[in-house]
Amino acid sequence: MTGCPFCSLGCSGLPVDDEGSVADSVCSWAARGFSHHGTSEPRIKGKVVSWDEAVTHAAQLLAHSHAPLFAGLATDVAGIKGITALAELTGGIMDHSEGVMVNARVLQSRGYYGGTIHECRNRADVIVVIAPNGSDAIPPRLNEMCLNSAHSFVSKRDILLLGEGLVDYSHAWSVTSEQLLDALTVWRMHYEDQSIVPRLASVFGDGKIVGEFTRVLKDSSYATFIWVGGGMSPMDGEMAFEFVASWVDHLNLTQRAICLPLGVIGNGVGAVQVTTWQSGYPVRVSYGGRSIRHEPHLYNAESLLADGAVDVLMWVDEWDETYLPPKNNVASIVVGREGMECDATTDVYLPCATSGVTGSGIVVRGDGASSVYLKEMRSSSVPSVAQICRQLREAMP
Amino acid sequence: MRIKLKGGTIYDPAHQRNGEVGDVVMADGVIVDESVCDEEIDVTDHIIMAGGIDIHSHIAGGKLNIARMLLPELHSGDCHDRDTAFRLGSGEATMTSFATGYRYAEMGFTAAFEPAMIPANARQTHCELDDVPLLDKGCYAVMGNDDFLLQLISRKASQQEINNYVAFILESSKALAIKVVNPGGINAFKFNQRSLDLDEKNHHYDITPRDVLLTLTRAVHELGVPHPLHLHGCNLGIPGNVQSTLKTIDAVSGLPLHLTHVQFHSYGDEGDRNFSSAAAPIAEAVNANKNITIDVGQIMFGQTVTISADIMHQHGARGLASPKKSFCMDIECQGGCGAVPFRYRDRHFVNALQWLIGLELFLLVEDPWRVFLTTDHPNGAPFTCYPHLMRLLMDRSFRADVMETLSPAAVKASILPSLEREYSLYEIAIMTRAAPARILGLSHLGHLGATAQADVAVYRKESDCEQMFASPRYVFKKGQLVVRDGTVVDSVAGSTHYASFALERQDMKDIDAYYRNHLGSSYEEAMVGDEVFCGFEGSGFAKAS
Repeated sequence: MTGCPFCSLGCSGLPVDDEGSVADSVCSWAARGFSHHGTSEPRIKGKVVSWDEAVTHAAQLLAHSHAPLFAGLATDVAGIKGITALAELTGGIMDHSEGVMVNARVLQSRGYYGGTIHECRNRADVIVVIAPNGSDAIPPRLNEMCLNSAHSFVSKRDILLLGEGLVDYSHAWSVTSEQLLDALTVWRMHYEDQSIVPRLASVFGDGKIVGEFTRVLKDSSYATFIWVGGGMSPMDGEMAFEFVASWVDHLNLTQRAICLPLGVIGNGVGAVQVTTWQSGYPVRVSYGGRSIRHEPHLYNAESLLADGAVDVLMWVDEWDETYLPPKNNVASIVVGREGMECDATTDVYLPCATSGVTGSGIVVRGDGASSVYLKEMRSSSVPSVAQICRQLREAMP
Repeated sequence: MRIKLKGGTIYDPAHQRNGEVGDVVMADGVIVDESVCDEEIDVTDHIIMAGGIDIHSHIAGGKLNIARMLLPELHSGDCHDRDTAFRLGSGEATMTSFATGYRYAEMGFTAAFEPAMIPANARQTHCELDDVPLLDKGCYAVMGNDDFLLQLISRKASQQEINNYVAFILESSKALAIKVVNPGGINAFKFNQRSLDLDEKNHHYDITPRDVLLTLTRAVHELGVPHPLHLHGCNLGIPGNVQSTLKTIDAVSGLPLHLTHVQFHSYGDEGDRNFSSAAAPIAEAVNANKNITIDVGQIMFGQTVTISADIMHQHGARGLASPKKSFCMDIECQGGCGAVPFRYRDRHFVNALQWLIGLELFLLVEDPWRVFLTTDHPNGAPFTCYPHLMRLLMDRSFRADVMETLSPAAVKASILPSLEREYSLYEIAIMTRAAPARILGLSHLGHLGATAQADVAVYRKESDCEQMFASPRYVFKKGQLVVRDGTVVDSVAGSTHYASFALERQDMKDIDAYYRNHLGSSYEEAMVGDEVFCGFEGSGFAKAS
């Protein structure tokens, strides 16, 4: 068994074979993540160079930068610690992804009732899965980890699915991501015995599915609203999650209910946790001024790059070799999984170890409550993100 | 490097040294019994004490971090430590990890203990503590609401089975002690019960908080865990909760028990506002029962955020949130947490009376070895107010001046104006140094005898003891100078102490089955190890003696 970093479920008991591979039948996402065997060498502008040359050049870029941006940030807890130390030293901005900001902004604006993966797995008698992106965005092991009631404390469990194209499930309400907020509104109005306003009549339809959802939720004692995947604009996602959070607050006046947001990948919740305990703020944090600053909307990597507000990008992803930095016109350093194909537009590429595969490390599960230790499955000669950050600090003039 | 602090006035209650003039010599990180040295520092007219120890302060872990995330507005403003070579930070009530270490050291405190670590959150908590410099640390694992334990108690499992599980929790989460929060109540809230008194049944498991309390008190005692069960009792913050607190003291029949933030559990329901001080009967019970220790959980006026594993009562307090937002969470069938921002106001009857009740407790409990100085940071106030709190205890006229500013009705309802006691420096050294080390079983901390870790605070003698304790002349951590004139000048890592138990595989069968069926992995996956030391401070685990 090993820990898995490839989705927010953070399975800690994932079965692996002797070669450190995961069967497709266990989890297709993990199978893909564990099977990748890339090898890479450090490069400057696409040309293979020695490790020392690459580190020295990258350190110079950072040292001479007036406004560096550290983004991607898909790395383990030690890697995030290494990056915050670099960002402090260079006055940089850090961003992980839009996904982590949706949860953070709802927390900052109103708070909510949360819960964890195994609280849901054991205690929920009704689980509502909200998947704006449809079933492709649902982690393959969600069923095993959260929905399956075989070893739970409850004798009966209903699953309600709400999202795009979820027609294969018994209690499923297929709505597009654009309709999701309206669908939630219709459902709550029906639940509260309010009449459905004409504008929402088409989402309400014949009322059969809404009626079924209402009936099941009204019968619940401990309801869990799981939120998976993006698929909505950040603002729509925030509004929809806020809507659910408000409803869950209300349900808790008379019964128990929790929200369980599970969409974030690349240890995004870990990045939030570490930057919060070190700086006081979740990512989208800047060390550039007199004070540490947090701007949940402004410090967005894509718009900072598009606006020319930063002059060096350090992009980090130790797990997904296909996740390349957004288009940019600044000097760029990529610290990426072996096999990442960086072309000559990347100033420096430093291949790094992958926690859970070619290195060890810790990631924080999507519910934020628990962390998983990732063992090394096979060795590799490349250093971890944390080690690279240390080398960069030491190489800085 | 051998450093001699020469000619200081020494307060070292562990060795009954009450203000005698003498030298302290440090070598290789410990205090030595020799007088030869490489460097001599003249500390005439200075006070020497061991480094301070805070036995109950929320300095790391999930709920503290959630509170930081919930309240970015409490972190805005100037960044800490920008003009130093040290790591940056922010925040007053929920200050960040590096800043926590620096701010404690700047008051001469060199150890602090996180009192509510949910085992599922242990790995993360230790990763965060790794970023807290200058302090020795440790965590108390939260139990008493986990379904596995309640199942064991409910099916009348043997005490041996219970003890095995408690040992597993300590070893796997690398905890120093066991904390119980609202025994059984947090679990009952998951089954929609909204309150649970000491002898009320958790409807699902058909057991009472008293059952949970007795089982765990006994387990901790039988296992020989150095610190007694650390209890956050039933009915926190509820007017009239004095009755359950007194019943709790009675319930353990002489076994060691530590009652934490007792100020929040010493409320009567008398008077025209149905809220009154019950500090006197609580102090009387503490004085009469030598097996009981308490820490106070003093409140101070201003903005803070309350963070607690007691989701049942945090849920109830959501309406009082200021600003109006809060967060609650059910966690891994082990417990829960709630973060509710709060502003204590000195003109508010209830808040002012809470302040008065805390000080009444400090002054009415006679034995300073059994009452500890805490604000339940950040719940009552940030720990940075300790020098102010010490002055309140040591200076009766200062206390009277502050009372002038409070809600007059609250002052009228309190006996504090009539209490003349003033703490001495020796008593302060007991309650913040010698006694905490003793109650935690950490024999190398909290004193200045030979072989003690050389954590030493040197204060300039001043008539204003708040000023004195706020800005030590020197602080040494493991013999290294880390604070000069109240400012951090160097950073040294402390150790994380835990109570270690050898686990026998054959005793783990039921635990392993539960972990696999309900928590998604084998019990081995939950064992926290040295992987948590992944930052730059270079701390490590230390087995408590």
